[in-house]
Amino acid sequence: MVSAKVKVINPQGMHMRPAQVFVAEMAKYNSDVTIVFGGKTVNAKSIMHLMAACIKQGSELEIRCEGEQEAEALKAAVALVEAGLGDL
Amino acid sequence: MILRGIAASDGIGLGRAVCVREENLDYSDVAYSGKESEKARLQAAIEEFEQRTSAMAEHIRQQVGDKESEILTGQIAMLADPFMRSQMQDAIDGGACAEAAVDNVCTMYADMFAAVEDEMMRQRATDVKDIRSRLLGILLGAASVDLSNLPAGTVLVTRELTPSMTVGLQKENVAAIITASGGKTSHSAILARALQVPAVLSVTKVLEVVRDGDGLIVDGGEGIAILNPDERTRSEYLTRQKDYQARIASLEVYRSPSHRGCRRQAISALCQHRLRR
Repeated sequence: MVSAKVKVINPQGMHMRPAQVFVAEMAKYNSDVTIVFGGKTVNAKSIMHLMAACIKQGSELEIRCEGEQEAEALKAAVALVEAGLGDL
Repeated sequence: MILRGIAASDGIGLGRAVCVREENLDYSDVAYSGKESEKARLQAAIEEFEQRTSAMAEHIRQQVGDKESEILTGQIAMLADPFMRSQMQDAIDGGACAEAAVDNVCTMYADMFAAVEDEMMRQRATDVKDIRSRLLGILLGAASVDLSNLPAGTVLVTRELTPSMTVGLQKENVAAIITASGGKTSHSAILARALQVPAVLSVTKVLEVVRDGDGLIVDGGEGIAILNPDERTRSEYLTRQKDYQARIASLEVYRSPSHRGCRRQAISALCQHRLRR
């Protein structure tokens, strides 16, 4: 299992469009992807759960990946969040 | 009778009611046909949903706008959620027919979104309910609502204005919209404003008191509707409607390229327009 901490920078946080971008990318990797945020653990490959977590701008996330392609998945996840999830 | 609701889209409309009532999505007569069969039915319905929804999204993108079209592309993304799909499969494994699987899982997610603090995220509950209705409609073979032949001067009365309703809608024939539910940031409000049709939302009893053909006046800016107005009220509102349209037309001139330099004038005109209300 690998993990990293990132901060959400885009203004509207993890709303529909950025959530779509995130799950579409994560779907490519053979790995479980979870996000720990505000004491909750969220299945980050599920757009429903990702949106329901109400992740806003400034949120500190811990992204955890576990599986065959955990390293690639984590790298891609971190890069996406740091680049603003396509929403900047 | 004066009906009060939420002012969602400015303007005044006068016309006759066309009530869009919900189709019957009762699936209690559907018999479980076995795991494989129900899963196949579900899969076929999902594919049909995706096809129909993409077509609607494209239509709305061309007729209304990109942002409004994303409401529907978002629904496709939600239904593609692997976790949600596996929950529907599990429900079928547990003996639920495809309809029950869709109903139970979608209702669970709608409740989940309805409970979140963030108002924008709460809107997703409406999306999930819309997905549920359309999927059930496909599974049950219900006819979808067709609003492409409304007579001129229609005041559309419905529980909510869904994206699928706007497909094929001739907005020139829609004088106004009244819905029984929805707030200022709901899809109904977003779509009504994008269509530039006056709308009042959350008139909870509207479908109980209004019948097809009833005369209606809608003041979208004030959030009221008048049912079966008398002649004097009608002419008063016709005048108000003309005044409103004249004010809007006078603001349009600031959109033209020759006025690009006149930002201050435009802002002052807009403030005056707002103060007058």
